[in-house]
Amino acid sequence: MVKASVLRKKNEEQLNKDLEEFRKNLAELKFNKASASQQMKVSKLRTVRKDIARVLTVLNTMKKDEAREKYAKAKYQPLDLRAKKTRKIRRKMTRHQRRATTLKERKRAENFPQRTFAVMQ
Amino acid sequence: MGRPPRAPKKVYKKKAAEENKEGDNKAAKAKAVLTRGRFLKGKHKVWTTATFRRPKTLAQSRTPKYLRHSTLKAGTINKYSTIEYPLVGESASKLMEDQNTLVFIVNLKATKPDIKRTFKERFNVDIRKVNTLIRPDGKKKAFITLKGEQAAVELGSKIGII
Repeated sequence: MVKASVLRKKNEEQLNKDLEEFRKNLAELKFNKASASQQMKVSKLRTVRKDIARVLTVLNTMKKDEAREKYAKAKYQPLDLRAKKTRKIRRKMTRHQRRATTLKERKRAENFPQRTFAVMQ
Repeated sequence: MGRPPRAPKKVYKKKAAEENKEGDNKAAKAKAVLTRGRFLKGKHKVWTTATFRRPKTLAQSRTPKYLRHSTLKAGTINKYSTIEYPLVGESASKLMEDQNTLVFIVNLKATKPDIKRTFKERFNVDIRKVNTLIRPDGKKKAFITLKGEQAAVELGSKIGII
């Protein structure tokens, strides 16, 4: 069983090679299971499958991180790199847009603020 | 009280032409179009067929401003995913001995040429033909006939089917 922390230190090429190896392993195990001519540890099947999953996870997250770096400064980001939130929130106005005011409004607010009065005893 | 009578059209045109003799060609053309009208009579496209087919217009390829998917995910289809496992049993062994044929369960999406190719890559044998069928339980069964006399039995013992 490989550890993900070990896999993360490798580069894409090495990971692809590992993947190839694991897949070959799995194929052999499947053949062995079917032919049933030899005793085999069936638990190995599961570990190899999970190892493959681990390698694929590391590979894909690596690629995603690279993509994030690449498009960090871009004007339009790819859709899967944008904030997910919810569909509704994505369609709302941005905070900046909501708070935008005209010059006239701002001047009025500055010059005629809401006054509070109190009756002195 | 009334407005002065408008000069008849012909005179108009003459006036326009005279005015712009030295002047801007563009302006003269525009003025001429305005006075005479945009569509001249008699300048007609000739239709040679009874049907009207949509005319071919400019078809541009896409230049997207952003990608919809940033990365191509590592796929699950690989050279080990076509052939899944061999079938063993009485009928399978019979085929192996008599027909020089091995029987495998293959990926449902695998095609005969796919199976042939991956099999050759994996086991280094020559294949005469591949027959496939889909079992009632939804799996695809491939009958792979090999070339050479006892090739199936040899390969079968190597794999472990015997």
